[in-house]
Amino acid sequence: MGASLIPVIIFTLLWGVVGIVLPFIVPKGPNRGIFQLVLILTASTCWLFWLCCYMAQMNPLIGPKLSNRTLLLMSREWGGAIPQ
Amino acid sequence: MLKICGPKLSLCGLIISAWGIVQLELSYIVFNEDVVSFQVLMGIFYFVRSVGLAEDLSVMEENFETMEEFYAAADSGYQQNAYNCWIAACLYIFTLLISAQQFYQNSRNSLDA
Amino acid sequence: MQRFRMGAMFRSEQMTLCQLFLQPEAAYTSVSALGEMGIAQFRDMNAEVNPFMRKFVSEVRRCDELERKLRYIEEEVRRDDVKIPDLEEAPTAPNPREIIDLEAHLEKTETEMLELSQNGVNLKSNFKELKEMKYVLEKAQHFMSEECDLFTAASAFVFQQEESDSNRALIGGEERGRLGFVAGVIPRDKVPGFERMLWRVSRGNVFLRQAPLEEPLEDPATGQPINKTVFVAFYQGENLKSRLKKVCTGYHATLYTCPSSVSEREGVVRELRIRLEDLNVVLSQTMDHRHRVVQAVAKELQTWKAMVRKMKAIYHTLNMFNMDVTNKCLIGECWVPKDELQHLRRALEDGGKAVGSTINPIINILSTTENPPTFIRTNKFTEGFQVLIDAYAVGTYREVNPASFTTITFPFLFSVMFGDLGHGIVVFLFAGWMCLFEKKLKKNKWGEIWDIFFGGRYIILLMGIFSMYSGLLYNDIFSLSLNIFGSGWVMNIPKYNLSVESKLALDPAEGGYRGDPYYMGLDPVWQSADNKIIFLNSFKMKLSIIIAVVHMVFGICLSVVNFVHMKKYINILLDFVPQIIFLVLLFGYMAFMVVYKYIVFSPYSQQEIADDPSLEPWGTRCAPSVLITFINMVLVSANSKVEGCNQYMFGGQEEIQRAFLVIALLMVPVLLLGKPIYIKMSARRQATHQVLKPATNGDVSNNGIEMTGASDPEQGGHVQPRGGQDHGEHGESFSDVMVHQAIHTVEYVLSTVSHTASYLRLWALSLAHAQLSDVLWNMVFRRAIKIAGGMGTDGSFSGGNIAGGFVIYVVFALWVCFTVAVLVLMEGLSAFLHTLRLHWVEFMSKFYTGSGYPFEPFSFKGILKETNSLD
Repeated sequence: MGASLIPVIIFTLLWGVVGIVLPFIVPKGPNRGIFQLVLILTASTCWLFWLCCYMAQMNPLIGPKLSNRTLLLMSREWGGAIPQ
Repeated sequence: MLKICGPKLSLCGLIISAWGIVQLELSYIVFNEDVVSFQVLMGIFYFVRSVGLAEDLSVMEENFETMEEFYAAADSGYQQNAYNCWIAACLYIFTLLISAQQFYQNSRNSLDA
Repeated sequence: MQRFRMGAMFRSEQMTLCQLFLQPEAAYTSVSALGEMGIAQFRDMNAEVNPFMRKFVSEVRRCDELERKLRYIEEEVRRDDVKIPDLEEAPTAPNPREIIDLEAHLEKTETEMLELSQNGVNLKSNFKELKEMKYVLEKAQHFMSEECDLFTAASAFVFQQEESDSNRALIGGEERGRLGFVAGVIPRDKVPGFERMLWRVSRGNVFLRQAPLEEPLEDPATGQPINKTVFVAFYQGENLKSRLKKVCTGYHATLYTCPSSVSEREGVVRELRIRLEDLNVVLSQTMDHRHRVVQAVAKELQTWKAMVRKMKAIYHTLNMFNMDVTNKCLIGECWVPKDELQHLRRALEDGGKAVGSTINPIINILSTTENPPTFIRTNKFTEGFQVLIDAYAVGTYREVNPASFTTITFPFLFSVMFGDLGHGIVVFLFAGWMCLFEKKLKKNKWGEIWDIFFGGRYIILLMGIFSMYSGLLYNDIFSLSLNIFGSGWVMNIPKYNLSVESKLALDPAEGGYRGDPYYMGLDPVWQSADNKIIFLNSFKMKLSIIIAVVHMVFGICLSVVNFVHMKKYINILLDFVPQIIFLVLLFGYMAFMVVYKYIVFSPYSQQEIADDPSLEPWGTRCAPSVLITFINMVLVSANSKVEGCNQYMFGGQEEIQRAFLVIALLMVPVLLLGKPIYIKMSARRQATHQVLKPATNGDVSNNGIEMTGASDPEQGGHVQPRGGQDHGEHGESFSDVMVHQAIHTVEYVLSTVSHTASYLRLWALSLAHAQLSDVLWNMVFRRAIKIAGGMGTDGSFSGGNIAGGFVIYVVFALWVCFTVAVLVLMEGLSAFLHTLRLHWVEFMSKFYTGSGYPFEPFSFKGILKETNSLD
């Protein structure tokens, strides 16, 4: 399992708040229902999409194939062991 | 004032130059070595840091003996790109001013008419 | 009450059929009040009556007459180029007394306008004639003097030729007076024909001089400019004169008497000048007066038009009413939303009060088996989405309205195909501008395409926002990537190699991967990777399948809401359950396998496998293809065995798959036979119990407000059942039901497969979009940057940078144009259409009948808007 707890919790919480907590505190009014529906659907679709992205990369079976030059630059900018 | 272009063209120029200023200034920041501290400040730009634009460098196809040489050439390439983008952004600021003036002129004319 | 309102978007409003009894004198004002509110849809009670036989035909005729007058007045106003101001607020319909005033006023205005224009024409033609005459005289003067020279020259010539006395007498300078002439003007385009004709008629004996008028004259009737030519024709003899005059009339030439002596001519011209000046003063005064009148009329014109239009609409509506036998009251029927009933009552009371009637209007609530119209309250946000749904079909009364869910699922599915942060921002800014300045922009008339965009501004806004989000997840901004959270890959370079061609694949198994995915969306490292597409393909395809299953399951679940509401509980068991089981056990299971594979299979290094051999079946080498496994499941064949790997993903998978397949297939006969058998059985039970059911109220739910007596037989006759599905099910023969259900079953089974496959368009379009923007970047902008990069001198700022900057400046504009035209507009349109299809076909077919008809209330607002758009 290549998942780390923090991002999963953060994003689930974030969309959980949008989709579960916010609908309760929508101000009363004629449009309350549609507001709630919008919030719930937004949260669920966005969370689902994010989760799919996250899961797809938890255990990558193939790795990116990069040109050596790009790799050298990436390695310098984003951190990595550069051979001396 | 001189009227060069119509309302549509001036609006078009306005939009393209606004867009150009934003994007090319960002490119300048991404490429430029001297504004690293600023990049750190802005967080994202530090990480964007040129790698996505690495293939834009003309040095990628040249041959190098040592890695230091390559890095130096790459840095210089980045710097050159930064200058170029900065110049282009300045040209767009100029375009923006002209377009804005023209747009103002046109809208005033149409009000008069 | 809140809860009730909340359902406003979720399903259509409850409607009631009301019968109105109105006193004839109060009818007009009552209907007018209803028109202001726009809450009632009237039914035509006299459908079989000839339109010319209806009660208020003469009133409608009067309105027509008024409209004709208004049209005439408007034409006159437009001819003067006076701007007609738009109506700020429409006036109320005129009451009967106001109608008379209005008629009188319009009559007066029309006559005034008529007189004015008649006077104007008279004055102008007078003016024109005088002017023409002046010109003729002036030109004639000129000709005569020229002629004098000419004739002396000619006489000398002729004199030498033939020494005829008569000739000499004729041509001599003093004798010139004997030559007769006519002078006049003729339209310029007729001159050549006129000239030829004169030549022929006189055999060349008429001498024609002409001169075009420098300035065009104004046609008094139309105001059009006309070019004319002055001519003077010299002739000899009375015979020729009469012929000449005939030709002139034939060619519409106007002849003017022209004194032959110079002094006389000059006198006439002087006189003409004075008269012209006088006339000019009179003309300008008349024009001023006319202008003032027109300006005053223009201010009122729209108000009058609106008033007449409303009046006409009221009489049209009243024509739908029935007169009762005693001629004491008008009877009408209308559909009204249930929660507007008190407004209806108030409107009728107000209408009665307006004419001082003391009798309260009577509202009778009818019960009917007819399907009420579908009325969904929308606001400016939901309106656009409702339009999208209604474009497919108007919902059946009280069924679940997909538009409410579409508000989010539509932009979401769109964004899956259009995911790019940069393009999303462009779309968002455009839509945001439309939404921010909607009040100002609403008034603009920039054509049909603009109206479409503007009408869907909130859809576009949400599409932009969602595209930004999915752009972040795809990690695409104009096909570049952002590295916000730090890549999950470790850029370790095992071998020192600087050759240009050498490529290196990071191996997740051998320390290339940190084991901690990029927090949000795809890892930025993929942007530069050569095998990006392989990775994206697999990811996006699986994403599409998961979204497909979730979306379709959601759609099927919504059908339960419908069944519960329509109290067709048996359909839950016989329709919903087999459908959902079929879908979940096949494609739901496939989605599960996708997720399961994501979780359990992991890249284990050689070292880890050597340390713990039990890990080997869960390594990269042994990861099975989900698609192949699924195909094997359907074909009931075993997975192929690979050395060192498990044959299946989990224990008992083969048995479970078999069971799933069998259960899913068993659902087909349930779906096929369940409902027909149930209907047959319940029909038999009914027959044995001999229960005589009265006509059920069907879809119209009985409510407390229902009044006594309901429908008397006479009224009942008018209620024609429009849909009556409930009845149909009992009335249809068994074979009909069977055929219907067989079609339904076959359609569902086939569509489960084809619809799931259809969602793969999410994958295809998003891949195409990403690739296209990548190509644009590489082919256009990257080249420019490279060329510009080669221009500068190493390390420092130089003149080359200015040239380079200029290259970027030019190419950037090009790139922006392509981005907007191709990637945002074209691709956006295509993604929009595909999203629309996914909703109309794949989603809505699961629960939406769409066999309703829209509620079209009698509303002045709608009527005025309609006519305005026609203008």
